[in-house]
Amino acid sequence: MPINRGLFAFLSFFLGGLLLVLVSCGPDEPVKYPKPTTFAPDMPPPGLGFPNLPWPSDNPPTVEGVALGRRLFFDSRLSSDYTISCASCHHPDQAFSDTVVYSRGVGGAMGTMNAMPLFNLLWANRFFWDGRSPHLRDQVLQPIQDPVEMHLPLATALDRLSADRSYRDAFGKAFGDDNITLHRLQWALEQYLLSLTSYRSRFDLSRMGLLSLSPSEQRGFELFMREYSAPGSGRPIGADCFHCHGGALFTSRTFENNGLDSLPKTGFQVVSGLASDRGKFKAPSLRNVGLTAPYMHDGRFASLEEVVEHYNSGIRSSATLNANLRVQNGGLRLSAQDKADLVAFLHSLTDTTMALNSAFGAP
Amino acid sequence: MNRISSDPLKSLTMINKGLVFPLGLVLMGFWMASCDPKTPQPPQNQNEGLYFLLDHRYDTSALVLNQSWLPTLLNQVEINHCQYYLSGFALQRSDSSWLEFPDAVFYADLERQLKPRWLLSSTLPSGTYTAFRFRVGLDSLRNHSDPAAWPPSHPLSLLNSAHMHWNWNTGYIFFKMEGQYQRPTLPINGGFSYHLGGDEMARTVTLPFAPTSLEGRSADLSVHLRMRGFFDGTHTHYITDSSSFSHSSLGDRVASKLAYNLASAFVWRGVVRP
Repeated sequence: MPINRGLFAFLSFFLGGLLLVLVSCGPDEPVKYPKPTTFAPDMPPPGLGFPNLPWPSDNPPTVEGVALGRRLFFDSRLSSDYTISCASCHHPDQAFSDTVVYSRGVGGAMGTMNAMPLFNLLWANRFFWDGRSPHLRDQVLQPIQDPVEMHLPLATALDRLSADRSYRDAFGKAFGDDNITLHRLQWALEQYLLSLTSYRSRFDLSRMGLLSLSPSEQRGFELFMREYSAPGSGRPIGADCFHCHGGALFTSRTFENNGLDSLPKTGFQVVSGLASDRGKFKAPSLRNVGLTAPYMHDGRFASLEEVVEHYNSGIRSSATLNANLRVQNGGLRLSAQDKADLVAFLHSLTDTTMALNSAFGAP
Repeated sequence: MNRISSDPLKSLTMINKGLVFPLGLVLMGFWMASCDPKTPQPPQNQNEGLYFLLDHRYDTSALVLNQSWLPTLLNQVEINHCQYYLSGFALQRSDSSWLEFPDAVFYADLERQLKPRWLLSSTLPSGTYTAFRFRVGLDSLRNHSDPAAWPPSHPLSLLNSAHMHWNWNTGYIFFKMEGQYQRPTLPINGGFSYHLGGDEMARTVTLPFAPTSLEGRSADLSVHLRMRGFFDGTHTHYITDSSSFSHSSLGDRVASKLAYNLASAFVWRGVVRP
């Protein structure tokens, strides 16, 4: 049978090109894995007021991806001396925060800001106290490299993971082949961290009609939600917390100067470059705040009582002080009972099921 | 007729040249896609249609946040933050009927943008018009909607409005201005914080103009908001420690005065064809 020589040349060229493509991304042909299983995240029910927000469309959650991210989160081989994992400073039973003012990194190096809690990150808009990371998938790489945290070059991290057959297998199950890349490391950690949802506090259960807050908690909630009352205004005292910590997320998702210092540190100014952002730090969610002591970006307050007293009488003025704090001439004027009720309400925001959730803890 | 050489390199040169280039492109594209997960987004034409161009001024000068002491009749002020919602847009036709843009809700954040330009309609509604109307704030239905239910990109979504919502369906803050004022007798500046909200604080702004024809592919409706009018408008507002904040509580006269002042601070500038 005569060979169509043009067709032969075409096929030779095409197959040769295809071969070039297959070898161009790595020295070995990766092992193929079955399609990963879709992961159903534990999302809050609609009635609780959490904003309607889908997962990142380019990183859909899978059972295998979340499991891989969880394994990575608890793995100390992502630190230079194999001693520190993400979980070393983000304890599941503390709403993934740390109990110390500044966490210790490799070689005993000390961090410069208090470790933030990790939950409901799907709804977070920037990361770190000063907001220097705009995306979770970028944020997860910073502690690995930071000299005072895990201090490991990313290339070394990938080498260490690639040397482990079980990790190659885990990446294969999560992403279809066993190539271990930086993108996949980011995506796996992102999937796990986004799976850490929290919405079963006593406050949430009361919103769902499943229990009632105690009289003290209820009164604390009312103080929390009521605006500041000027002397002589005749209006009832309010603690005016809701401006920065209101709504179902218990955060305004903004950066604020909350009057800690008259000469504040840089804060969000490192991101914006604007003097008007000096001293502004992330207004954190107050969910699980009963678990996340010490408080503030520098961990200066050991207890919720100290935090409430700061807002009651300790505000320090500076050029960028939050306007709603600046108008509070003479402080909030809360009584001892007011303060106790506020603290009781804040404890009602603790989701005790989070610490017990076996899907969140060490694998 | 071409011959196939035994040398593959030579044979390549003998293939129908019309196939080589497109096939090379396909393979190159395949290769790039296999190594880089990012997909570039094509640019979109953002110039066609009817736009609302709002420039923020103080008197007639450009407004500057966080820097200058601005004079009011009775105070010196520095504006640090200003955010608000506009909705209920409509153009009045020459027969007095209104062409409405019911879906348009705009959120202004002066720290992000002092001269925002919002799209009212992707096609220019041809015709002759005599007035422009909008609401500072929201209609009651939107105001009491669930902020968690809006799509993430919508300005009323809680993701974009957590600092503009009064929690659990008490409604949105329509207009927020925060800053500092000089106390005449004290060296320490005072703060002011005005949050206007609640259905009764919504104000409709109507800006009449000489009959103007809209035609072609695009036009901007240009308006100035002269912030001084917020303090010195229909009412003169004197900021003191007792009048330095308002959150529009029931019967709050400060909020009511300032809402009227705000509505009168918008100035029609004309139709601009970019």
